[in-house]
Amino acid sequence: MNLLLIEDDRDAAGYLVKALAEAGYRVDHAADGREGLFQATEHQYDGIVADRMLPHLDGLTIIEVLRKQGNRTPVLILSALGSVDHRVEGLRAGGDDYLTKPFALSELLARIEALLRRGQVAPAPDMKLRLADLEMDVLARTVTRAGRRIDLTAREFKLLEYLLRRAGQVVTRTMLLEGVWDLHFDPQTNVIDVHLSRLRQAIDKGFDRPLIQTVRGAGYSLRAD
Amino acid sequence: MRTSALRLSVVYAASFAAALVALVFVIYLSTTRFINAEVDTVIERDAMGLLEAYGRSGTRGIISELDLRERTFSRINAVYLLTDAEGFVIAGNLPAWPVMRGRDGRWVEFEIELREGGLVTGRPVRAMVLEPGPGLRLLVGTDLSDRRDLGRRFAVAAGIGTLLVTFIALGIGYRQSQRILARVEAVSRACKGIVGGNLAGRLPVAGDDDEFDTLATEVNSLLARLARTTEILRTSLHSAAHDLRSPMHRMRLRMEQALSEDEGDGNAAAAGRETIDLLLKDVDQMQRVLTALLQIAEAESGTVGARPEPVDLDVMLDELAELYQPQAEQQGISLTVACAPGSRVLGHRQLLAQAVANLIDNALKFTPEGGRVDLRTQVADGRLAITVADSGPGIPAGDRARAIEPFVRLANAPPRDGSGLGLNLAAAVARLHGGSLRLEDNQPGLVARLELPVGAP
Repeated sequence: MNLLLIEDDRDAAGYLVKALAEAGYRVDHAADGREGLFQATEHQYDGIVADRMLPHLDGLTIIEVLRKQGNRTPVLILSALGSVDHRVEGLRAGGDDYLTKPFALSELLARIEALLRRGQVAPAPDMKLRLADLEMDVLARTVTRAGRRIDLTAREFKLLEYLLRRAGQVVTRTMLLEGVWDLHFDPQTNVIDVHLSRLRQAIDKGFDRPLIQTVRGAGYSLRAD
Repeated sequence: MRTSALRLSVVYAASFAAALVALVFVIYLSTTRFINAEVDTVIERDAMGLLEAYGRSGTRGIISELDLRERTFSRINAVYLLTDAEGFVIAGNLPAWPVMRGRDGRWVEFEIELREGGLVTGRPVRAMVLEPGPGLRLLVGTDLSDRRDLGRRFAVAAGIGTLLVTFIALGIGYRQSQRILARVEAVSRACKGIVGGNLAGRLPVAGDDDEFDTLATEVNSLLARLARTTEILRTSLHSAAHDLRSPMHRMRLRMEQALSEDEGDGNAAAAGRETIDLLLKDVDQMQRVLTALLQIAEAESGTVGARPEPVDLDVMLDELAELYQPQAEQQGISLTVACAPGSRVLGHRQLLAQAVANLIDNALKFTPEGGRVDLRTQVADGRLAITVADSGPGIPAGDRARAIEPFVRLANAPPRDGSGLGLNLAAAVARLHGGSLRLEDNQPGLVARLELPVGAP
């Protein structure tokens, strides 16, 4: 997977390039907006991580130019501007996700992973989801594990669906809050953890192999191994 | 200032007097014209009568008619004279043919002298000269003294009246302009005080409910808003500095300690990891404070930017209650929600959700096991109240207002992992929507009441 990182803070960029490389990505770095736009149009990337405020050309303009050229490479915007409004602005400009600085590296990795997967998802989402012996029928709203029916509340169902659609990926607490509750703030407490532990009770209790796994310092992951 | 008051009132009085003089002059003109026409009509009618008498019985007719008039009650101020061809007086109440002062066809004007107790007064007469027969000259007229007196009296009355009105206008004008200028002066004084740094200063409101009061009230609400923003800025800066300094202080200590331990200890790697974990927590804490501060600043200054949209509060509260339900159950707290249907407001969904989440979060934090937290909405008087009531220890009445101020930590508060700005952000969001946040007594416990105008902001 090829990534382009457009970030003018050289120290921060150095760390990020190293961390992304360790996570298995091939990363090109551009230090200002002009160079970033040039690289983005010259090469084919799987994803772009762009700082919002850049010398010469800001991140939103880069995205707008790319989108006008028909370039649909997913873009994650990094920004020190964190209000809901800035977020909306960034997404309206054509960005696919928005992350406020400072962020945890695990959050960035989880979001990049989700972004790259999203680029591959078929236009019509699957209505029957499956992971190991766990099956979900989204339309019939039923969940079974090893053939046994599991009763979930509407929210637990939504939560599980979100995890199932990102099976194998790391999903952070803020991603869950945004994706399942449509809330874009930090609730400052462990509300999400309690929901996850309930869901875990419902689908993993009594089975040898737990599917919901806690990823230390990052979030959760639904995986079969 | 005083000279302005005088100048204003003089201008006011002078224009008033000029208008009055013009009015009186017009009335005078039309009145005298009417009286003059009336005098002429009366003389003409009288002369006709005498001509008729002449027609009936010649000179003798006129003489007997005049004689009759002199003896009986007849026209007041009438003047007659009949002379023959040689100019001898035949009849009438004039001694001789008078010296004419003006002539206009058959109309003449002259003056007769009247002796009254040694006093000679000239009396104006208007008359008509006729020739009833060959050589005969007949003069029929009216003494105009009364009319002249009337005119004079009219002029005097008008003059006195105008003077009187001018003086009154001058007085009222002076008082009025002095009052206006006094208020301008008071406003200017208040402004000087505010500019001088007294941000609590306000423009005086006289309670007259006039334009000045309206203006002063408007300016005062503007000042109040400015003062609040300044105050928040001041305390926020202070407290932010303090709240950011504490984690930084801890970070510094930890790093120095880690450095010194590194020198000899074999467990350096493990200790280093632990230190870094704690450092990350400190950074997170600082980040929370900064994020909350930025959000408060945005809400307070009204620069949220995003357009307000209709928000169904009952749906939102149900979702938030559902979000916190598992945590409440884990803490052994019963969390209930009951909403008035159709509680729709115009607002910023994310901010409102965060405000209410902060209130629930706060309630859960302070409520002991076995307690309860109740979410309610009520609609009354065009305002929608969201209440979050808990059965915790509550806050003493004297401390409730203070608890909403930034960074205030009350004596009985447990150590916090949040930004310490939750209630403050909720209050800022309420104000952004034209509402308010109040803390009340739940007997026992605390009620946070977030009021929003329906259809806000």
